Amino acid sequence: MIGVALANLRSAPGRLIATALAIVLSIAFVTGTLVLTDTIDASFADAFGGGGAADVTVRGQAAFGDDLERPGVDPALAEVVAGVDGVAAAEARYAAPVAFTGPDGAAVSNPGPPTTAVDVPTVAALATVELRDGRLAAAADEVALAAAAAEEQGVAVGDAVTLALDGAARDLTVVGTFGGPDGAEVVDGTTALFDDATAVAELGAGGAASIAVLAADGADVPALRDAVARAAGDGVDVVTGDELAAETTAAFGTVLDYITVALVGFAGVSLLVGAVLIFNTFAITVAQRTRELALLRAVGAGRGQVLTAVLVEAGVIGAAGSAAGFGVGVGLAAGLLAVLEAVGFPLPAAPLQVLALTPVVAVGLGVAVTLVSAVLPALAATRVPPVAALQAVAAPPVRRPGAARVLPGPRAGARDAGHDAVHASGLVLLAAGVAALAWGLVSDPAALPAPRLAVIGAGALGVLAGTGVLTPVLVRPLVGLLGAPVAAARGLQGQLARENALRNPARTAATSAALMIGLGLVSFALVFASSLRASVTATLEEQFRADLQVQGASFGPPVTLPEEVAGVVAAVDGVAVASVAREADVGVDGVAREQTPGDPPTIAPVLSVAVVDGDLADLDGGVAVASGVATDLGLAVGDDLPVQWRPDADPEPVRIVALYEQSGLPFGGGVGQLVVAAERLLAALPEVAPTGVLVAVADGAGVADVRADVETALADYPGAVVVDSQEVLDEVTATINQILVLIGALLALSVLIALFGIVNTLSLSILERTREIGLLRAVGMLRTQVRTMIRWEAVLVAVLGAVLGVGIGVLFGWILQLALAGDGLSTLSLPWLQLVAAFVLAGVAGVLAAVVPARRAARLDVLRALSI
Amino acid sequence: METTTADLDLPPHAGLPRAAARTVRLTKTYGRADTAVTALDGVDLAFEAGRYTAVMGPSGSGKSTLLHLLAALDRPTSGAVFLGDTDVSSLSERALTRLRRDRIGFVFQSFNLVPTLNAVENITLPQRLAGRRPDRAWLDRVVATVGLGDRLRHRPGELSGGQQQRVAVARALAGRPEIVFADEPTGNLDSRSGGEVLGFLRASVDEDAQTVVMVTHDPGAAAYADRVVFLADGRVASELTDPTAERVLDALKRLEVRP
Ligand SMILES: Nc1ncnc2c1ncn2[C@@H]1O[C@H](COP(=O)(O)OP(=O)(O)OP(=O)(O)O)[C@@H](O)[C@H]1O
Ligand SMILES: [Mg+2]
Repeated sequence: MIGVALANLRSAPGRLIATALAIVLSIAFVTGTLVLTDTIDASFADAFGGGGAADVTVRGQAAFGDDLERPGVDPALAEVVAGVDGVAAAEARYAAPVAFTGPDGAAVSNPGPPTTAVDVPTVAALATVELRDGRLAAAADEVALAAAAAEEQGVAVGDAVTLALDGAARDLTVVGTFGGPDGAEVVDGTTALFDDATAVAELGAGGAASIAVLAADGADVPALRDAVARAAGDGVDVVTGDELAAETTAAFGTVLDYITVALVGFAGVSLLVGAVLIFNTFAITVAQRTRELALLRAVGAGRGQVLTAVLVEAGVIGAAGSAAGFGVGVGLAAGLLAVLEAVGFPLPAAPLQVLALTPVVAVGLGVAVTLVSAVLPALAATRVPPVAALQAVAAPPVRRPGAARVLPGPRAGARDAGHDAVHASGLVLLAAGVAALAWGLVSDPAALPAPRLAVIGAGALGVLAGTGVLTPVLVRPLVGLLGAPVAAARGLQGQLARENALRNPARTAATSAALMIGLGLVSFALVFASSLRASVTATLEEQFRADLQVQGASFGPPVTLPEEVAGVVAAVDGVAVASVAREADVGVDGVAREQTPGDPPTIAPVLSVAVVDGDLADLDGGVAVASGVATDLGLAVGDDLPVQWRPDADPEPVRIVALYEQSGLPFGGGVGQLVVAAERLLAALPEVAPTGVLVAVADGAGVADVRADVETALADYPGAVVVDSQEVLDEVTATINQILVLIGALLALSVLIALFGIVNTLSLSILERTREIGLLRAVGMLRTQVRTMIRWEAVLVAVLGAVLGVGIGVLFGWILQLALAGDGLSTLSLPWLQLVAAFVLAGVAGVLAAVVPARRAARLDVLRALSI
Repeated sequence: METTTADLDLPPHAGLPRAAARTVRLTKTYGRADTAVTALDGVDLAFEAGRYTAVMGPSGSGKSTLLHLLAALDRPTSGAVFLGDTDVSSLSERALTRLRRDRIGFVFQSFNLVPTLNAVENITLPQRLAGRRPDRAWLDRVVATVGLGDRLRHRPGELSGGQQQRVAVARALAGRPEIVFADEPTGNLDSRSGGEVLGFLRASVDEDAQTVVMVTHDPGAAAYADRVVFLADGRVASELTDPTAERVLDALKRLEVRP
């Protein structure tokens, strides 16, 4: 029988193309996702995970809740550490954010990981870069640049550049370029290298960034870390190179996790959709081969042998299809990376990562899914009675619930009972999902057994699964409804299109499921992103009253500004208020609390704080607290708030003078949980530098004029960028827009898979209906009418998927908005344009999917079709 | 499209009763060169309007091929087919389809109906494909004749074989085509259902002057016709007018003992 299976594969390649295509597609998506995830992982790990060449690093102790911003360390510690047993060398390393300046003298903000300027290590083994051209900096006015950055800026060795270092401009000469080790590019953001003496002067304002420690040969690194920690004393943090790598990867991992979860989710979805496609294809091809299989049975093949034959066939196609899918997937990942780069989604450059495991997983998964998908059709094949070989096999009868069955009998009845059980389980899932959703949304979070979002998420999954199971039942009313206008507008062809889509509801449901799942996820994300943008816009418009804002130019963590910037800005004519923003995280009750930017005496004109009790004007040395925090702690105006300024400091009681409603932005920003006067903050944390200056323009002065004057006044501070309130808004929404672009790419991909799914099913259905199409042509259906009929069938299937997908997506988006309403996602916004676009796209996908099958159907030879 | 017929043996109106369809040295070969099969070999036939003609002959004699060429379902290798005054062989694919839709009715041996359409939708299929409203009164009459009144909303899957063939006959007649072709329309039916179908075709000739050409193997079925044409090896072997089952049987026997 294996021989029969293989002979089958050789003799009927056409029929197998559809099956193979389904496997190739889904495995391509899984592979693409794996490769993409690995590549992004690797590039971020390269960028942030490299702990340099140091075995042990001594660094400042982190502030509350922020691993990325740490105070400097005393460079003198290097000598102390160098004396520890097992330390080969220890050196203070300096680093600071750096930016290139554009032709207008303003800093160019740079998407991607934060760029830093560092010193050249005197200990060669601690170097993380290699010289490419020229030499390293040796004087105060010299600098070496990363080769890639130099190329991007169009500067070469010998040219002059202006760099914004810590907000101030430096005119320098490029004396060399460098790259990463082994000819690679620099990936950790190191952009400029200064010589040691200059670095200490230019970068060392807050002390050294860290002390890099090189272990002696054979030293035990963890033990060395403990020894160094004892020697370095309190107030610093000592970690090994591995720990540092793990920590930084983890920090950026949260960002990465969202992408990875999204991609893995997408791979899962495409595998699911692929399984559905494969199942569909096998079901149809087995049905078509009823006669052939019956003939095998008639000449004496046992059931087991027929089963083996079908499964061997499936295994071979599965392996071949997955292998091809793997190749396509690698290409897909490369293409997607190129797209992401083209639309400006910042991904650090790294070579495509194809791990050894990836092809194994891809092919293994492909074969497994194919075999599992083939089992049911294969079992159906074994049930083909030998006598079927003698009967003509035409297209499956039209099923009409309620009407008399064409083939009544015990088996049909058993199948109905099976369907009823499936439908009942679908209803149960749906009901349970809705119940969980309602429970999670309505009841008090404290009363729930699990985190609220988990309950809501479980409910959403239930609804999704229930809908999936029930789709075949929904096909009849929905396609009937959607098809009504088609039948009205397209006459008989429209009517036939609708009837053909209704012919096999399970198949139609499975085919449209691809689009449903893809568009469901996409529209969910669209609603979320759109609501996020609307909420952010509303909150910013309500809270952000400043006309202008001076801020540091950087993509990464906020860049601080020189102290004198505030004075320069305040002195400009037409500036009514220049409020200095300083941000710090301090501890209250062991939890990091974000401090509000803005200096309270000048905060009112630039930032709206909704005071509910007390008065901000009385602030002085006291503190204003978000009412939620105060309620949690059981404190009121007049009580003392225990504030822990530094992690290693004891809590200090600070008098509460006001409570305010914190309508914070989703994911931070805006008014924080505490407001203290700048003087009070600086008394406790003198190193907290300004992150911005919020400017209110005087009555009668033009914002644009004042802005120009402020920019002129700040000419010497290229790192300080002036933005108006609209630009602040744009900046925040730009990130969300990037997410939307990414979603757009996913939309395109999901529509693509669905398109192939429709092509696949349509081709096979048409093959089944060859005789019927011959008949229609014989009694006078024109070729164009055949094409119209098939095109509308495809469009109906596609739009069905869009209706279900967008419906579920919008519902879930709305539910998420309700669930997060208290966390800043206050406004529901439906992105009508994109949602309508999803329908149009689905329709277009249907039209495109129909092109080839419709042409094939229209070209059928009438007589040959009739004699099948 | 009209063709001059001066160079052909039979002018279109050679004093005979008007022909609904004619073939002129109609030849059809399948396959190539050494393996070629000549299914029709220079057949000249005319089918008078308003008459019922049966085509008979041994299996493989070219009956179906003739019918397919007459019904514009296939193109001749050489020779010509005229439907009325139209030279069918010169028409484009699109014009052929229109011709089948508007001027020809067809009843196949089986699988005549679109399974997703109910009986009345199947009957009016050609008119709806043409974007025309069916003639209500005529439709009612055809439906009444074939006796389908209570079954009109049923789909083919819910109809018996005989009922399905009646629907097929109704479809063939509903558009008042110039000519109706039927290829073994009773081949799959029991004698009673078969007799009904043949009766409807006969009635359409008698009452509405319909032209019918039918292929059959059954002498009893041929006896319903006004004229029987016998084919053998792709040529016209003999003819009978006003046949009875016995005379047809005799003619068939003679055909078989021919050298
Ligand atoms: N598509 C085709 N390709 C090759 N040969 C064909 C084709 N169709 C018919 N033939 C051959 O042409 C000849 C006439 O066939 P046709 O179907 O017209 O016979 P028939 O008289 O209808 O026979 P039957 O009574 O069995 O239906 C036969 O020899 C047949 O094998
Ligand atoms: Mg025949």
